[in-house]
Amino acid sequence: MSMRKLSLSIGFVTALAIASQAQGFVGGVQPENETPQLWFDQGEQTVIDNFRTPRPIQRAKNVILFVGDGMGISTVTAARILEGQLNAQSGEENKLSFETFPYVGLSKVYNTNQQTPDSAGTMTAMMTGVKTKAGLIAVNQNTIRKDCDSAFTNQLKTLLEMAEEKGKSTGVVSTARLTHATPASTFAHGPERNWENDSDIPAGADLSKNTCRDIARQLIEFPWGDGIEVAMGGGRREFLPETFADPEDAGSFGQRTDGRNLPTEWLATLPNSDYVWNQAQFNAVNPATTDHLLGLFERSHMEYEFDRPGDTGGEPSLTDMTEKAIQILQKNRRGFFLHVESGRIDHGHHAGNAYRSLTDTIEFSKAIQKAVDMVNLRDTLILVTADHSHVFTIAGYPTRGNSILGKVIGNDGTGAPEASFSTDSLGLPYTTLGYQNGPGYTGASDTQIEGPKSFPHFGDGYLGITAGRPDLTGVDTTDPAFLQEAAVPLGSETHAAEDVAVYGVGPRAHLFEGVQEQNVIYHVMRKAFGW
Amino acid sequence: MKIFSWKMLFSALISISISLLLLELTVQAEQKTAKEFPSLVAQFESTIIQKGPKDTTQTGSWYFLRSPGRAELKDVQGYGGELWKKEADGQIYYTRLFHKHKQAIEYFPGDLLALETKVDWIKINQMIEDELIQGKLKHLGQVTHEGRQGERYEGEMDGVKIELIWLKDKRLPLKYAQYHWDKSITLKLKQIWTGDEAPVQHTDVKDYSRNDFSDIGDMEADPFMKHLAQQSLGHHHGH
Repeated sequence: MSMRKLSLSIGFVTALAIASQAQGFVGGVQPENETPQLWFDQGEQTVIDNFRTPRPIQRAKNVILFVGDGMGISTVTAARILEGQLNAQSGEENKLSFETFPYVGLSKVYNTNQQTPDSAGTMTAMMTGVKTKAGLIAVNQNTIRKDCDSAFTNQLKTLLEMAEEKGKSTGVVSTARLTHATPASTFAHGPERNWENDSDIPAGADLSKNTCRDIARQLIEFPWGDGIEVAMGGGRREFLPETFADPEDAGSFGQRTDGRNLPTEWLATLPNSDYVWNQAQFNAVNPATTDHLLGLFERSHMEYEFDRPGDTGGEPSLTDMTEKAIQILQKNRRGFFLHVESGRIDHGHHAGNAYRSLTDTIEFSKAIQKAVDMVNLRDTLILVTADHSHVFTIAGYPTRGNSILGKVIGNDGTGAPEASFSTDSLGLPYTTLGYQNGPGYTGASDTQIEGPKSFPHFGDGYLGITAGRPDLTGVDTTDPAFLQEAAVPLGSETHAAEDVAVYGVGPRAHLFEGVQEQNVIYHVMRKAFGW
Repeated sequence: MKIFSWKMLFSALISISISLLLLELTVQAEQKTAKEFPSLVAQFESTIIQKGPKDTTQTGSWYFLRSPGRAELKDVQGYGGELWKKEADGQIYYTRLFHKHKQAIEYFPGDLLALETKVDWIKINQMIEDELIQGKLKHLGQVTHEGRQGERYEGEMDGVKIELIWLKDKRLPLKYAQYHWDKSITLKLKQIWTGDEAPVQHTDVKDYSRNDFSDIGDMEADPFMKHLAQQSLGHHHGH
């Protein structure tokens, strides 16, 4: 063995050791079957497949809209790699379930009054076909925020309402509160996303107008068709009176001040209905005999997927909920519309915690695969998209297979993995993942000392950095509590304005191609239904 | 409208030391079943002396309120505080309080679970790790400190010299001091109340606008949250 080969070999082994020890994954490894011929053949086959990909023009009986809240393209890429690495692959070559869909387009996500959008305005665009302002729930841009009188005359009918009107079954599933902006925009109308229960409504509001009522109440009083068939997520406190002890969290109560117990009303007003709040009750639901299912599994948002096993009452995964929802909705021979949101991808990013965002994205992908497995793609359109992105980046020049959560190990001049971490101008290693802003700023805050931050971190007072960047050499950046570094100190990381992807499969999925306004998604779904 | 004053930022800085003493979110696993903690209100004074070419001193004054299943900090100026609650099912909730603005930020157990470590309920209630008085520090006998009799301890933990005068019956420090290489942090008990005469009471968060920690990022249109998230670099840090 020549000296050159020897040194490369040592470098490779050392790189492996660093990657394995510090990050839990093996870096610098390419799949054994990756040959030049394989790349060529795969590329050619993809084009052949695309030639053959049908552009089904028949109507869809069912439509499922999956929304990964805050799941920008960098999140999809990082989650794809993480999922692959968790399955002992190099990672980059992996595909999330929806990345196998034949049609992809880009969605322009701005709100009518904001370059970088919020979830209320974006979901309104997707559900009504009309872009609107941030903070508004299924009302148009002529509405004045927090003014429910102006909202009343500017309401927009949602696709879910239309589906009910046409006799289809409908469902809403989310890991966020059901009253949160994204799910709310499918069934409610109002000038303020934060009016989730009646205590949020300003005194003197004209409650005879639906747009002056809280979002939880609007779900229970949903006037279209025979009522929503499936509503599952978090947000129990928004539905229960303040005198009602929460069944899961001792010492906690509902937040409604009007005394109404909305789950009880759900049971009283809807036939063959059920209400569940924990895993055991969820498991006991028989979809064959249940026509209307309300599931409220947390007082606020449901757990992150990573934390779900530790939940007090136990709660279903997004995949579990998706499966149960489809089982119930599929009973309707006229078809169904279902919206499924992975709501906490967004929250993980806001907290500057990539681990939780990415593991929730992986669970989102599993839920989509479950749906694909359960429906007939000849009569069911499935669209997967995000409402907006986050300021989340995948940076540096990590070698192939480098831990996506780890520190960058680059390649040397020959293209082989380096023996040590890549370093910045200060001589310090850095992670592949990072945020442009957020709680991961490394100056001291009023809650954590200068240096890398741990989740959860809500610093509302920051100091300037005095020690330069932290030395991450001995820090396990793959730890689920690690907060990736942020350049700009903010108590909460922000959304980003770039386009998000729309992945489609099924009847008329090809109608969303190219770069389109976000409200086009509604029109694709509507045309798929043949309306 | 200016949401935060210089004083509030200064108080927040003082809370760094309190956070280090009380609320280290990478706290160790709870080592033993919680014992009874007598209900009381105490006033503490904290002092941080930062060594340098010219030493800088920062002081803060805090109320500590303790009742069954509940421990709370309030700065005496009434700007902010923190509340820990332990419910009957053992779940622990953490709330940050902004009294001047009647705002509460609630951390759910799921947020705290994400730390992968249990919150040290004993430390929260007695302000120091129980291990310090269970053998980690050397017991040097009784001492009278500012008119009160306490147990004196000294020792070192993680390279930091520690002095403690422990008020055994109240399960609180009369004095607790850490001597780091670059700074010293001292906490002194100034006053204690065990009845209704206490100058402050537990905060009733029902009177506050409550928001989840996880929702802050989606509340950019809320003026308070916006200012909270936009805190600038700390050039006001007490020089």
